[in-house]
Amino acid sequence: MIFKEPQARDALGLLYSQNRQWLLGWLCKRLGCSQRASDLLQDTFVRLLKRDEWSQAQEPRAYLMTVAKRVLIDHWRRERIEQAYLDALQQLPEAEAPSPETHHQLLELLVEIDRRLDGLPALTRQAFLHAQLDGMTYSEIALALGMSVSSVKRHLIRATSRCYFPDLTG
Amino acid sequence: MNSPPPTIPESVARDAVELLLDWQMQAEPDCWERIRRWRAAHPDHERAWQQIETTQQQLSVLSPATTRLARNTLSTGRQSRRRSLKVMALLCMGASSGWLISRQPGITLGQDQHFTGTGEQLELQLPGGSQVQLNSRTAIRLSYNQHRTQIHLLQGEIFIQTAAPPAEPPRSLLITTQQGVLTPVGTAFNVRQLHETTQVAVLAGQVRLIQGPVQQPHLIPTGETLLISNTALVSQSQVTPADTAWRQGMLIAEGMRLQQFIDQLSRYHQGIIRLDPTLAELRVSGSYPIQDTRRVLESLSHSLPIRLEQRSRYWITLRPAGYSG
Repeated sequence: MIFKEPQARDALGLLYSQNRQWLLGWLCKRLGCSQRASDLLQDTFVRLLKRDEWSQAQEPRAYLMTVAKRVLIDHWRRERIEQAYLDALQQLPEAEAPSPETHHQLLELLVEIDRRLDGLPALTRQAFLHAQLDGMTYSEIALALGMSVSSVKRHLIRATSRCYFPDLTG
Repeated sequence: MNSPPPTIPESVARDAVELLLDWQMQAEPDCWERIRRWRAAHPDHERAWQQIETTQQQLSVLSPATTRLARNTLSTGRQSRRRSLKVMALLCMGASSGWLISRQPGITLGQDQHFTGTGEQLELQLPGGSQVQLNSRTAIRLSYNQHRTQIHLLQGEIFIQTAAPPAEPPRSLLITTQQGVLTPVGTAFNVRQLHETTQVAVLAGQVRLIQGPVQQPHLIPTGETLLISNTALVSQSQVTPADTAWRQGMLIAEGMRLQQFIDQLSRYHQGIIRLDPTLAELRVSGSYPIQDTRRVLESLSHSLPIRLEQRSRYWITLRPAGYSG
């Protein structure tokens, strides 16, 4: 269960009512005041609900902003990936387009992969995509990226660890 | 409250990733066996591998049909920040689960998987009544939905006997290898994953290659053995009893090169068989029981000019009969 005991829930309610206004203003400045800003405000508090840490935070306000920033970054990531997805889809022959029910799943996965690979050097990311999506071998990747096979392995170990063990290597 | 599971040590995660990459990138014949041993060696190993499998389940949305889209999305989706409402419209149509074909080696090791060790065989009953038999050192993964059964052949060799008169409504059966996707048309057939090729032998009925190095679905008729690579249909030949003799625990050779014979026999042999290169072209004929590979080698040494040299229990070298050293 994600809901804590009533006491903690009340404390969160208090945090919410005390900070709702300025946080919404903060989000509005970044997104333009819109339904979306209040959606992300909700997301921020939903995220708090799922964790314990906030009750121990020294500066609830600073902590709240850190979480809101993460929510915002995720939001932008999703927008960016959705746009890229649509662009890619338009370039695909119609026969190759996945079924509608696949879109949602695939997009969720791509957002998650992008999140896990976040911050990796471009070459590491490239090597990973070549291996996982293009089905290229070590030597093919080495040729494509102009590096040695042992470098390719190093890059792949790094990216694959991120992808499979995000909690350890994040 | 559930307490969070203990974290996996970083060194263990790294070992798991290296094994996974060996498996995905090189698909060495003993890789599955190594993974199995590694998993069994420590509970942390097993937990790390469980996590890999869970991730692979998530990744299984990626399929040959969607990789190009995924590729273009992930490599271009780095700068653009425009939003499109069209995407949202698109997504609203989406139900949450889609059935997908996936054939990337290693990507789809899921929950329902079966494998055999060296010298083992296994027979499974599939929903809808079909049967699948696994030869030695074989790994498959099964996935189902209400209409379909899909067998991913990850490594090794399987024989499939489809159910006589189809269940109502008929379930379709798909077999995915690294080279393509096959579907039977009421049939008995053998599929073997070789290094970068797939061999299909059809004993009864027909098998349709619906994805792979073909523009149109390709029909493999009764009595034909087809070899498929990543880029082409390599060769066609007549099915022989040798193709499925493993099901009777036999290895049949008719004027087979000794090198090829040893390669075949090695699949059932616990350990390593080395062949002196000067012997590679000798010819072997006969039917040999694969349960006792050691005895097969001994009997060969009576009929051919070879001598067995045993370095350890697991390592046998075949030398020319007159050789000493």
